Amino acid sequence: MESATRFNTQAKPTWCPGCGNFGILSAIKKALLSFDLQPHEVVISSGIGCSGKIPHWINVYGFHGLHGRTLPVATGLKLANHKLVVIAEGGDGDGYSEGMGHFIHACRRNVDMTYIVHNNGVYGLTTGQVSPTGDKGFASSTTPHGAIEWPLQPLALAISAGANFVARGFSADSERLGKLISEGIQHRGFSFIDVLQVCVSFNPSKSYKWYQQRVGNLEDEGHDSTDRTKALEAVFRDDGRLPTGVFYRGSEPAHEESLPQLAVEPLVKHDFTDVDIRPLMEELV
Amino acid sequence: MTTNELSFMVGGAAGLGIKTAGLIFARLCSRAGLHVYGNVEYPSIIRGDHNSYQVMVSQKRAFGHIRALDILLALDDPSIELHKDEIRPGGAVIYDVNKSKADRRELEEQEVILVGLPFQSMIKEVGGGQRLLNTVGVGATMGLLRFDFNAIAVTLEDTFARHGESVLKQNLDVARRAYDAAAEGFADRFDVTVQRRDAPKRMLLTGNEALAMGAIKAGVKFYAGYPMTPSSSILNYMAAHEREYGLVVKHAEDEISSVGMALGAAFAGLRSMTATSGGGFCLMCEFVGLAGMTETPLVIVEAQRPGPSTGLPTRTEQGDLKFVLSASQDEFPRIVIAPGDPEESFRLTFEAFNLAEKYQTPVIILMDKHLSESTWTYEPFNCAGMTIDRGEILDESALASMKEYRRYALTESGISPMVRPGTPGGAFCATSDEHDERGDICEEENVRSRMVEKRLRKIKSLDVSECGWRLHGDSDADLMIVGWGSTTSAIHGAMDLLVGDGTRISFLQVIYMSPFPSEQVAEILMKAKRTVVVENNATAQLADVIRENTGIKIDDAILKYSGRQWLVDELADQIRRRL
Repeated sequence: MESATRFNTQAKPTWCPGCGNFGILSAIKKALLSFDLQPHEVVISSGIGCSGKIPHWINVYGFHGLHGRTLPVATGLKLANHKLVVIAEGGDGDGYSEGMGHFIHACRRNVDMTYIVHNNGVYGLTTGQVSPTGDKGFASSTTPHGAIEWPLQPLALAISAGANFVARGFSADSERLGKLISEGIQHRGFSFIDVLQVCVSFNPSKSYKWYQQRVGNLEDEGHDSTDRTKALEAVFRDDGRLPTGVFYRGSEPAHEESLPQLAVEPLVKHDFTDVDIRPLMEELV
Repeated sequence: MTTNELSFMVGGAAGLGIKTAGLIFARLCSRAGLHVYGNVEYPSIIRGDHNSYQVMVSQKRAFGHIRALDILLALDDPSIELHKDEIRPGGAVIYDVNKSKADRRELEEQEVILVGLPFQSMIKEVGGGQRLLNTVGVGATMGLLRFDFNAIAVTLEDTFARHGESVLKQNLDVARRAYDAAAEGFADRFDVTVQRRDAPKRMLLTGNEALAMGAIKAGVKFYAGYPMTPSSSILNYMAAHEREYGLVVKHAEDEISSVGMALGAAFAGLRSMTATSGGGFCLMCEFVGLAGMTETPLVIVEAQRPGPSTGLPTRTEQGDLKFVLSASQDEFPRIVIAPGDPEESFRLTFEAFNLAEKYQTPVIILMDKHLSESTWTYEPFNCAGMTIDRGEILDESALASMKEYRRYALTESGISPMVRPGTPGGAFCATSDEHDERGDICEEENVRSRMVEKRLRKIKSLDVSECGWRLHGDSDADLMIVGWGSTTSAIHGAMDLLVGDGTRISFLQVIYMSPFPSEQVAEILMKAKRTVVVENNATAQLADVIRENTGIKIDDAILKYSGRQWLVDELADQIRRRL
């Protein structure tokens, strides 16, 4: 199948008109088309939330699991069949709140997958509560007097936790986001892409226009993505701009490369019709 | 003079190698052709506090321990203080005369033989340190029992050779000194000996080791876990053998991740597993439901320990039966199996993988600390006839001949053929949302009802009428004991003790808790004259499960919930009171 529509589904997305997720959906398809990949060679694992529904609208294998738990499932999938391209999708509530523990450990585990987080600062599917990346002071149904907590900084967390590919994209620039996702897929190891996204229904003050006035491009600035300290400086820069692109890129080997069990074939191809356990029994005599 | 029947205990502070000493003694006896049962008792502390390892040795199968000790090897004084009342008259206590300040007058009055040996001097003579203490003790024990020293040497070599030549030599030298001192100074006054006898080769193994072997035999290829007593030894065992058996073992960041990884691997088409204890299983519950909803095969081991909450981390209880039967929200089919001994742990774990894939649903294996960590002797398991059944799977060519693949097709059996990611032509999306036959999210009433029915229907074809229970003894006995899981062993032991009483006792062991062998259990219980459950919990949970499934009320209950399993003589006394 060579067709440019091979990743399309008959079912149509149920997101709100104008939702940032449309841009992310289109960017993922662009990225997949940039490789010679067929639908059966890709698996997308997702959590629960508006973002979590995305595998239903891409013609690949999908697993739409539990809130916050996309990364463990994606990890098991990849280790079971490391020939598959594995993409994990999550939202900022899903991935940075409920699933934060898994995120940190996925960064240091470095299993080859691309983790895309749809970050809009708000819970959409439960109708508008502040998320962990929501601004301090953000008034929502659970913070009617404004959020007191400080928003967390996922890129800095990923860099300090040992991630080797840390990037930020913007959903409305699906051309560049598609390229970023392609790079993430190509990178061997855990690739993390935080995607700035508009929620037209529950966080309308951060509109497309708001983002467009602030989103910058690290490449244009000549950012050195091999330097962890410079990457952190770019994350914490306090000039009101929101740089996008690859903040940090390391070259640690992917987790799978340290597992000789995977050297010849993926685990799913191993034959176990007659496992000889006599040596195990012998060592207990 | 008694030969080859004895009850031995080694006690000491945590960190003195009590478990190692107990296991060396147990292995020596097992290799001598004897049956062994070994039980380790330890607090959730790494150093200090009291640890003990008790070993029953017998020419017949050993099912559990009794209160009376023939030998107490006391590596510190608290061991004497805690266990002095358990030593029978004519029994022996082996202790260190260089160090012990324990008051031994009471023991002398009880006619206990005081085997005081200069452990510290012996250790100094061979130029070693306190790490040799347990070897000195085992050497003395075997001398007292007049056991063949060469056999001791072989087992010490197996245990210590990996620590290097000089460590091994010190162990052998110090064992010899203690052996000779005990044999020459005390053996003629002691009335028990151990002698090698011809017997088939036997393994000395725990329930967890047997379970892990069953999983490897079944082709488990992925295992993720998080350490939690008493399940940790499964994780350790799997990790130790991952390369030779080509499986991947991950120590995940928590139990949620463990079960999530295992489920992801299973969705990719692997046989995968996780194990934990009750607290960890609490964290896993959401994934149990996810496996039910997405119809993903998954094997989970729940090794129980006393709770609630942290409870008694290193002790035993059977308090999670009803929890496991209803864990996770709403209704979906699950298979819950409770092995009663290591051999059942091995065979039922193997079977669990077949069932998980055939019925595409979670299978939970219920263990507990007693079964997971105690040791028994078994001849190597016969693996003839153990065949792998991977359920209904479609490959590329099967898919090519179909007009449309529907992952959750409404079939008569409720079982819909699976495809594995990577198979051309089968792309679909599984979801934790309610879904239609294709797997797309769907909230229509009719679809919802049909899907609930389909999932529940799947398990109806699982026939547990024969494998779901075992009846030991006659169904028309005077008293029928009903039990499950690790208590099986002590019940057998108690029944052996009661044979001489002339009362006819039978034992119904329930193995499948879900689906439940309702008709057969009902039929058997209807014939019984009197029934009593024996359980390691406070509320007789099996009795409730039986009543729920059969409407039959069990007459009586013998319950223990102190965090310790039954001693066989203690249980026999309790049963006698019901006769």
